[in-house]
Amino acid sequence: MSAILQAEGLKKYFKTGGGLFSKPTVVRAVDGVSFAVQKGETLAIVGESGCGKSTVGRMLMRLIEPTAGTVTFEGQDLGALGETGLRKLRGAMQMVFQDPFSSLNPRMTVADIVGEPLWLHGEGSARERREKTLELLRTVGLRPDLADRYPHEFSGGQRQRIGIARALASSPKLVIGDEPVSALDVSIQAQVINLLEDLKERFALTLIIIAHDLAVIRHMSDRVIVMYLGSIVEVAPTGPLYSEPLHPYTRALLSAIPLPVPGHHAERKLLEGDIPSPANPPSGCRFHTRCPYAQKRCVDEVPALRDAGAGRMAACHFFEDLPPETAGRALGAADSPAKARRLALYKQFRTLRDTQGPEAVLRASTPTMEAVTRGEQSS
Amino acid sequence: MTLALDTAEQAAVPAPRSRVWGKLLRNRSAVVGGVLVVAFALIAFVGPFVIPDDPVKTSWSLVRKAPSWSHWFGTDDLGRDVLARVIYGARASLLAGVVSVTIAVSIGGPLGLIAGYFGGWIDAVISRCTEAMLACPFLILAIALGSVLGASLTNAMIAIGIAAAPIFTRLTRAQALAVKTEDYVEGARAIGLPDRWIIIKYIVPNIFAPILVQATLIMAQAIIAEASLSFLGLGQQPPAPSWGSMLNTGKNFLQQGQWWMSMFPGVGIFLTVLGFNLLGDGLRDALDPRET
Repeated sequence: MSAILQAEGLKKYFKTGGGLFSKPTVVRAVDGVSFAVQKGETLAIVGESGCGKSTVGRMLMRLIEPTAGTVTFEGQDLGALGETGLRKLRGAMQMVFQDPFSSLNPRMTVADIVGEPLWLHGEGSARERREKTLELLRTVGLRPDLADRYPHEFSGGQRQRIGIARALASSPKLVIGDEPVSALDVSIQAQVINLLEDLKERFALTLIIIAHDLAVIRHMSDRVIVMYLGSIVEVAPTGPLYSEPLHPYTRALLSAIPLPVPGHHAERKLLEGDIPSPANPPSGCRFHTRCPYAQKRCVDEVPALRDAGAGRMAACHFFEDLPPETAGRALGAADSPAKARRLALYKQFRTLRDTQGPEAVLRASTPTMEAVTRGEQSS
Repeated sequence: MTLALDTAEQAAVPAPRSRVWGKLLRNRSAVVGGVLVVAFALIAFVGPFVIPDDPVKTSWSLVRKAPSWSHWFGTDDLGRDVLARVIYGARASLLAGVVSVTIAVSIGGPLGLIAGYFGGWIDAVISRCTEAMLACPFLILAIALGSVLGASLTNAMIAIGIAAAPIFTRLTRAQALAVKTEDYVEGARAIGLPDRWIIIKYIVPNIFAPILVQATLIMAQAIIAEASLSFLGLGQQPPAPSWGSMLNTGKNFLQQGQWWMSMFPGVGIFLTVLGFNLLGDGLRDALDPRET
């Protein structure tokens, strides 16, 4: 595995307000973010709204210029490239946007939207481009005969598929999804996530998924970067992050995931207070105002992002000394034997239905129902 | 099998152009407006070949005659046929409307696009100039420019066009500002589309409707402005007719009950302006793909 993309000390400061007699306020949207993305992995960037994750995504694409720091894509420094060099690279990095209702030009037909990158890079004749466009639509699960319609005639999920098809058109190596499913219905979210995963396999993509939803991230990503107020607080492979979060902020985020278990009452470690303004961030560790474990040192000293072993890093002075997290609380308690049996039966139903059709389920239902009853009695 | 199905379904989707037409034709006020505009265009360009009377031929025996079978719209103070003059004057009025709005859009539109899309110092310069021009009332500015350029119909059209340009600059800038922050414009930058294509393919189509509507409204104002300039002697020069100069002459005889000299050109202005306004409203609705 080698790094396809590397971000070094990315910073973005926005100046707001300020007039003739007042100094502008500097908002530190992103303050010193460094990470590497390995080829073929799915990297998630999570955090509350306003933590700078979308700004990072846009800086990676060079859609906004960083105040400081570099982005290296396949060994090329994007900042050093001119406008033309950057344009050539644009095909290799693509973005899927959050809101499928505003990310498609309402005045262009779907075929024009999806085929535009092909047109821009001057690929093939008009007929070949048209064919490739229709093929792309099929790839993302849209009927090609809808190609000459306008975006407003499609549902949110379909529009997001159009956006994905457009991103794929220039045969990218890296796709950045800026909250690609958070504007969609939960049922549609799963479809779009599955689609992204399929496409990742099929086209050997590297994915960066920006999200605030840890449940979504968990299904997709290999590694997770947790951001708070413009800087990285924790980097970890997905499994360990969820079972054993190091940083107090990650712990709080995870404990906020609702657990779909009836009767389950978790003591939740909800964060108190609001996210501080990035225009006036707290001294020392930026999380100390809301951290349940904060000490004097946290107020004075900015914690470095330290190696925690096994590919993990955390920016906390005390992560080794924190009380052990009730490991994997987000996963819930282990299933009771009876529940495990019921789940197994349900899965059996699903496979039967999916492979042999609903009639097979009906035929099989009577004995299986007996099995359920037996199972209940014996437990 | 599938292929046949595909083509059949594709055929069922109407082409975008015919859909715009269909929507336009279903909109009653747009049809009325279109008919009025087309009718006046026909009158202006075909009428002179049909009408037997000469619009500039004077006659001492026919001074200020009321409408009659031989002169349907009556005659003016020099004995000229008002119907012939209204028909010949339609050309000046329509030309003034179309040409001056074209001038205004082609000056104001690009400036507004540049100011709104690129922002920064160039926006500051363009916006300040626009505001300075907008500080003057439109008609006063047109009259001032017209008198500087000299009295002729061409100069009047240029003057009106320049005077109306800041209206389009401001509108285009505001629209471009709103559209350029849309996600799809960022998406266009993400695929590496150059600025000129973003402006042509993304900004212009999405701000086209309000500008078109504004153009038809300003068209109406420009016709009135041309009439005003001609009324003041800065537009169409005598003896060539224009609705504005005819009104100017006609008003002197209104108190004597000789209404026909001013009423017919007035009705012409009224109907043309109404036609453009109705057509503009209809076009706005028809051009929006989101409305069905």
